[in-house]
Amino acid sequence: MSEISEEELIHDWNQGTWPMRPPLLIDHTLPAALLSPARPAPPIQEQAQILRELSKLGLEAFCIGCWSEEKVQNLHAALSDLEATLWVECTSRYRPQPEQLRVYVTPRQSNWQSLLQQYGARATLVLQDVTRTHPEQLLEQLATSVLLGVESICLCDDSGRATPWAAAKLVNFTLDAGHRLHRKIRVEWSGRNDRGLALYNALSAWRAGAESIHCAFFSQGEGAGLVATEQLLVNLSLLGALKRDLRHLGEVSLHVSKVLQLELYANLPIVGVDAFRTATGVHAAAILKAQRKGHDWLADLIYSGVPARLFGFEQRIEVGPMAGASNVQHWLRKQNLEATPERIQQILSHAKSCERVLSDQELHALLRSS
Amino acid sequence: MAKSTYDWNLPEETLLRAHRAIEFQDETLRDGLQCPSVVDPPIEAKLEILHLMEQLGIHGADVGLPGAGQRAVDDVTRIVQEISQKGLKIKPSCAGRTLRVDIDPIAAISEKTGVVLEADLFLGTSPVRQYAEEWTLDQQLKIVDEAVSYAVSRGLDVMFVTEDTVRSHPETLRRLYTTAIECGACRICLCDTVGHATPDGVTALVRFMREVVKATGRDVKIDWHGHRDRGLDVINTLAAVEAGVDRIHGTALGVGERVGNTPMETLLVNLKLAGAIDNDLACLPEYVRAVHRHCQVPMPRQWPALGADVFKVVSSSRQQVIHDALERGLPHLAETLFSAVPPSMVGRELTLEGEGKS
Repeated sequence: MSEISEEELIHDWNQGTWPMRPPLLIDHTLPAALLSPARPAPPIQEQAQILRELSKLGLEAFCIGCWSEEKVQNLHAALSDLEATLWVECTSRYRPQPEQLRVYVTPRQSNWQSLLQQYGARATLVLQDVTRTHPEQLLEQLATSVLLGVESICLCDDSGRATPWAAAKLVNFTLDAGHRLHRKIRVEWSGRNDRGLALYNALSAWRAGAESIHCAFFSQGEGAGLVATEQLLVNLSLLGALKRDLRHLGEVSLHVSKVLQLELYANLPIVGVDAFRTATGVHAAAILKAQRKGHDWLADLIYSGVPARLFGFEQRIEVGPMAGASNVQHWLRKQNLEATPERIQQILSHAKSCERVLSDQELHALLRSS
Repeated sequence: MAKSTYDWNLPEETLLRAHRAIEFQDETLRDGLQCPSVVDPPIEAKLEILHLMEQLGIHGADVGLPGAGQRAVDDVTRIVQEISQKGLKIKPSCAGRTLRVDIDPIAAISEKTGVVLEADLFLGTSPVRQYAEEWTLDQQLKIVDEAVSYAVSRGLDVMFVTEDTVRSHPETLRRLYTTAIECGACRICLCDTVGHATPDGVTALVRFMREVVKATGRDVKIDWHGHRDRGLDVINTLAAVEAGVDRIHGTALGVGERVGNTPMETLLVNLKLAGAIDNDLACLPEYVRAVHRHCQVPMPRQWPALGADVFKVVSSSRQQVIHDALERGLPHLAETLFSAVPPSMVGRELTLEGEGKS
């Protein structure tokens, strides 16, 4: 077996430079998923357990909802053992007292300045619909908030209008305003996925200097939802900024979807059941040839931009109408059956006449019928 | 400029508008049907999907891989006949490996139907694939020379496709594409087969390939074909447009190999919002519903512009603002207050949850 490395086998056209330090991911999965009154909320202890599961992925910042809701206050009490920073939305009537809590305030609240004054550095000012906000108005709000002691500004693309270029410009503008005001401003980016651009908008904001990104598993949230936490984790890892073990991503995703009753659609990048699955002959043949070279990493890489093994998944080869002999040989071997030419031909000719991928049971039944 | 009309997006849109016309290639009926969860639908369903592509103003459709077997040959033949008999504008193409065994059935369908087909002939070119398959570049150059020359001699328009282009060495690409073009390929396709690319990579690759094409002195078009593995499919395709490709590929609901291709509907919506196209997108829901129903692929509730929940307004404060805009006789403002995509642009309406009405 020849010694060859991954680097030798990939010419990578992805040449961009990215910050070495990853952004802080502020996960909003719980409030985003429970936004719809139609979705039943699990018991508080199960909600708390979700955040403990997420912490296995190195997540350490969570928004848990609006402080005016009793269930959010109960959740906060249930999380006393969790080493994480928690954010809540506050209202003029319901002002959180616990000192470790961070609060979100928006200029749409009538008494936003008094709230900022009360919370100072614990507050993040959320500037909504930021892609349609005039720079002068933005500057006024930034100046007011930093004078009240605010250090964090959340640029919120809550209608999902932004493009990556706009996200970067907004972050640059905000940081520049901080310099001009002689104050350090930390920028959070929160963006929706209405145009399918939420992920790259978030990455673009981070590249421009945003320190935190709002996200939610499986793009939960109002409208098209927030940027998907699982996609951010994988992309930050592939960009080299996130150096942590993410092999629990699969099991944690399953736990979150089960407890919150969220459908894990087959076509969700990374966590959908189809993410590392092929039934196409050309693809299967290449994966199997790579395996025969004796390198598992090669088989994991040859037809996948995301290495399955790094995120707790594995490549799967199945048999369907687009399959070739390699798919069948692989399946027979997995079943500890000899890959005779007769069996291969029998399965392949049947698969070619089918309209979808065949299950193990269907393939066994086919062999028994001969 | 009035404060209320400021738009931080504007330079991007100006840039997109500055480019020449963008063409769309629909891969739903070929790459789409390689999705492991998909059902290969009956021919009647494929024809329905084809007509919806035509209605949306999509320029080309990859209608199958005839080398896969008799069923594929039959379906492709029927689709090409439908295009010819109904006088549809959409241009049909077929996929195949750079092998005679795949080219012959495409040529046979072309001869039978009297329609000049585009043959999209692909070959894996990344070092990782060359290593696993034990291919040398000289062998591949010979394969390309023979396959493209043969397909052209059979009267086919050839698009030469390098699989996994974004992980392929520039010199490999230069030599293979130059050979294909010299043998008569009229179009080349840059393929992010495994969903590895970032927009920076796409831009660098497209710029490089434009220089390669320019050096041949031929009028050869460049396509971009992306996948969703990292969730960067849409922005990668927009980056390819900005870098100067002529045609972009997509599928309805992003259906395709693994978690799929770039969703055609999201591309159309983005390019319309950017002012780069003026297609009527009112039948977009029908197009994705047809693929959802016939191919039995999921339609996530939060799918941009078309999911069940995307135009649902939940919070009462937002609902109040929308009501206020409607009372002032400003329906366009009402539908864009909290949504990047005006629902009416894609034949839909806002829903105010809790009120049960739109």
